[in-house]
Amino acid sequence: MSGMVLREVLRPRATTSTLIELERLVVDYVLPSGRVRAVDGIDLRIEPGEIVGLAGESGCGKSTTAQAVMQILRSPAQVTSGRILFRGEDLTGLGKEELRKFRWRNVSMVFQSAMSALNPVLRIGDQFVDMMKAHERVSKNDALARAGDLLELVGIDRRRVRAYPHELSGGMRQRTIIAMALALEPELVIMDEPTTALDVVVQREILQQIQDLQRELGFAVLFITHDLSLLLEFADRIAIMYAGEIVERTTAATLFGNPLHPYTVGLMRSFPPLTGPMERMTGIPGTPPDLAAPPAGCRFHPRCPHCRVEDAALYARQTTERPVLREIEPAHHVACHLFE
Amino acid sequence: MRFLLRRLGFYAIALWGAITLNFLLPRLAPGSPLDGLMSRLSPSQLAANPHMVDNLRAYLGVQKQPLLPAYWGYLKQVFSGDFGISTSNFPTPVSEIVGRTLPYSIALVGVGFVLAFLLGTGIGMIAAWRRGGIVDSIATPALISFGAFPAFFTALLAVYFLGLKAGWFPIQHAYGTGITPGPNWTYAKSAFHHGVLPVLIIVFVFAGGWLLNMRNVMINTVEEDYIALANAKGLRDRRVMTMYAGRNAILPPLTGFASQFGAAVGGLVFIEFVFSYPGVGLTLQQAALGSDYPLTQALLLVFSVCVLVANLIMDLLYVVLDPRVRTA
Amino acid sequence: MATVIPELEPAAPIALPSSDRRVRVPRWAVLLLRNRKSCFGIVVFGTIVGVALAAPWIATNSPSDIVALPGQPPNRAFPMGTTDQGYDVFAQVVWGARQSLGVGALAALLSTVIATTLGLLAAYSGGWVDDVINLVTNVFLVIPTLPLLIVIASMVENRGPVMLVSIIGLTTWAVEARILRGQAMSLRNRDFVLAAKVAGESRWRIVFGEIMPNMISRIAAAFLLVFYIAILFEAGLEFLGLADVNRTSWGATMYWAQNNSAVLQGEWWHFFFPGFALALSVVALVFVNYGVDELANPRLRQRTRRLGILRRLFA
Repeated sequence: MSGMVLREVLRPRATTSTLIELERLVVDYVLPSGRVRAVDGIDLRIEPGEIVGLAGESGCGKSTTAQAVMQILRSPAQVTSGRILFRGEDLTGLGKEELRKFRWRNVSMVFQSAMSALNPVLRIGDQFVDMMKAHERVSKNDALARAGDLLELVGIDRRRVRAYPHELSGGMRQRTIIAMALALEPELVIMDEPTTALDVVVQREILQQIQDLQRELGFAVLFITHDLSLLLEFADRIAIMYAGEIVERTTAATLFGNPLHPYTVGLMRSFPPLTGPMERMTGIPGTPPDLAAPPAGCRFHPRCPHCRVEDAALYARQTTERPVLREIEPAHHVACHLFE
Repeated sequence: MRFLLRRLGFYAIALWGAITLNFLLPRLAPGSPLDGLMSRLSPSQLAANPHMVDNLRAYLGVQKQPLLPAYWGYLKQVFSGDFGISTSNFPTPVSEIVGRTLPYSIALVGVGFVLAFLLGTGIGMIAAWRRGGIVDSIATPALISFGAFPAFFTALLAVYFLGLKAGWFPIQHAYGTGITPGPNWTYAKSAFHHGVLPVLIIVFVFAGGWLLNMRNVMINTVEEDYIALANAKGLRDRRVMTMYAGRNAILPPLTGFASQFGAAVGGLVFIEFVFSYPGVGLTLQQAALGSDYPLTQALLLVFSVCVLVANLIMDLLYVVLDPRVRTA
Repeated sequence: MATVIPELEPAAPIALPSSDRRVRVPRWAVLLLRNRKSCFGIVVFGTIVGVALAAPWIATNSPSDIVALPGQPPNRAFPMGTTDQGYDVFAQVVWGARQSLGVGALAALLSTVIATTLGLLAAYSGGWVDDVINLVTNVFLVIPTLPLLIVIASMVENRGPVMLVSIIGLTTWAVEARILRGQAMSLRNRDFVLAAKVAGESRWRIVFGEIMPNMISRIAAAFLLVFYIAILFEAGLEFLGLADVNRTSWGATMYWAQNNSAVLQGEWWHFFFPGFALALSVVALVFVNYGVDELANPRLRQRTRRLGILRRLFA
């Protein structure tokens, strides 16, 4: 990589090696009509170099979680309680300038809509330069050279540095965004639905690219998507989110072989496998709950096939008591009354 | 490039439409415009040029001439720059009067409007970026209220308070009495001094509109994904506000510049009237009062052409600022 | 292909097209009054209209009679002073409101009617009708309105209120016509319009019976916009001396103030009070417009509100 010297990446107050630790994180949207709890007390840990997947339906709070980690929540969203620790340092306590330096150097993000994530009136190269100059002392020429390197890294001709965003195809734009995310060699890259807006063939290519880059550069990934099948192939560990809570959390292999939570089971059955024999698909009946007024007790109970009035005792618990995330077997956590 | 050609074509057609409307107006007006004119001409003028009445009759179409040949004749006249003789400034040709007064108006509008645009969009950008902040709570309502005041009222207020009472600025004409216009320092200083107040009025009247326009677009632009990404990348706040949000948000107001220019022209007439500033606005008003039809018609055309030219300049600027149009 | 067993509940009921067509005028007033900006505007403007209507009781002197010593500054007997001819400025302002606001309203009405007719017709008809109307609209947009008004006024003999209403109405419709056309075009392909077409309704009935009722909100907004512009033009033409300045109106009062060099003589009250009344009316209407803007684009408001009803109102 040409030209740039990166300063020591470890933050001064780092205490542990765990990259990200979310402790009982609660994020609310404060509206005049009341508070809507988008993320309700989740715990998640990301270690260096691992790929953690966060799966769930639209509106379950996964993007909000990502924004909270990057500390780019936009009002009316705010972190109500809980901690977001980066290598042991609480991010919510950082000042504005410290946060500015933290962003992108340590954690970067790949947005879903690459179509609109690039400034339409600036050249691609200039947008790279902007970012580098905001964090490092570097001349424009060196920054542009490095931008060219990054573009080549993701498989784009380096002469495209002079192009405007509208002159690139959708796939190229998404790869540019990924290149930008890697520019400062962060330790964690959050990817929020990076391939959803692309067609299947391009999707495959991009995922392959991400995998190759991850192996070469060794950054951790928080991969957010509603498509569980991608995670099963790609992630090391997976957490399933529903209505603002994590309902199941384990390694990808375990999840594939032994999904426990009824929602996870439903998700697994709702897409056809890319390879293998054709099976019957089922959907999950009902719709996600309104987070302004979530169901009492287990939030999934209105849609759960195992929640029946006949099983009186169980039913009573499912409708009044919120299940807690418990370790059912080694490294496999589930929040479900069926497993207590 | 295709974009510009299309715009040019549009302007050419609009210009043709304006010329045609100009041709039709006296012929459509109820009553005979000529009678009003006749009553204002002095006997000596009539005696001096006995053919003038016939010429005017032909010019205004009071004689029942066949329409198309008259139209063709009119077009030829317009494109050769012959707008006839001004009746209220007899025997000065109209084109000479226009040539004398147009530069002053262009100076006024040029400086004033550009300043208003820069000030308005600049404050609008800052106001939207920090909503509810000091700039937003004070400057926004203040400039908008000023903008809603009728231009001539604001002008009169300025004349009274700043001109008469405070005596800071002269309140009439474009330069002091006894000074000859030309490339000399005395004239330049005097012209500048006389121009401050009118330009100030223009800025006050129009900055508010730009401010609101820019502010509204900025508020929507701020929600865009590339702003979120720019913030996430750790860019400095001011840079995101100007190069990311502002650079994009300025595009819609820029297209609105063209339509605002029409309103600016209206304001110009009032301001020149109040300040007795010898530009085309005052000339139009005097000409209208004196039923000097050759002059008023010519001026109407001049105004329309100015609007078109302003539009064209804006289009050029737009092509420079928005790369997406260049490849379209 | 793998079979999908539909175990989903039926989708939430969709709003039927007929609900689009009900005209919700009453809710308007409530929403406008709730918005701070438009509420302020409505109250102020309403007060001015009230004063205009109650003129005989409020201003005891006649505006066109010489009632007192000329050139008095505001005092107890004459709260807005007297002109240098001896007219009562207060009476002129109060009575003048009638012409200024009345002409403005009627001109705006005429302008809106023309804009609606042409805009909707152009949108629905398409083809050469659209092209012609577009051409005319563009010409009127390019030619600056005030100079055009001045030229037309100079060519007309009678310069009374009727003439003012006509020429202002006939020159200010272009801006709104274009906006309304755009909106009508988006409605043109909606199901209820196509249904009416298939049912054989005539073009005019579809335009005025189907499309227009769904645009009432936008048409009303257009009227409000042109209203204050019309008031300004009316006063402006009088101020420049191009309308009948012997009638009582704000612009005429200011014309006489300027004509008699009130400013140069320091008689500020002669132009200030009518000018301020004019400015106040216009500002009030502008604020009502802002309120309408904010209601239509929720993001402009300071706090978020729920959008459902509002978006349907302003669709």
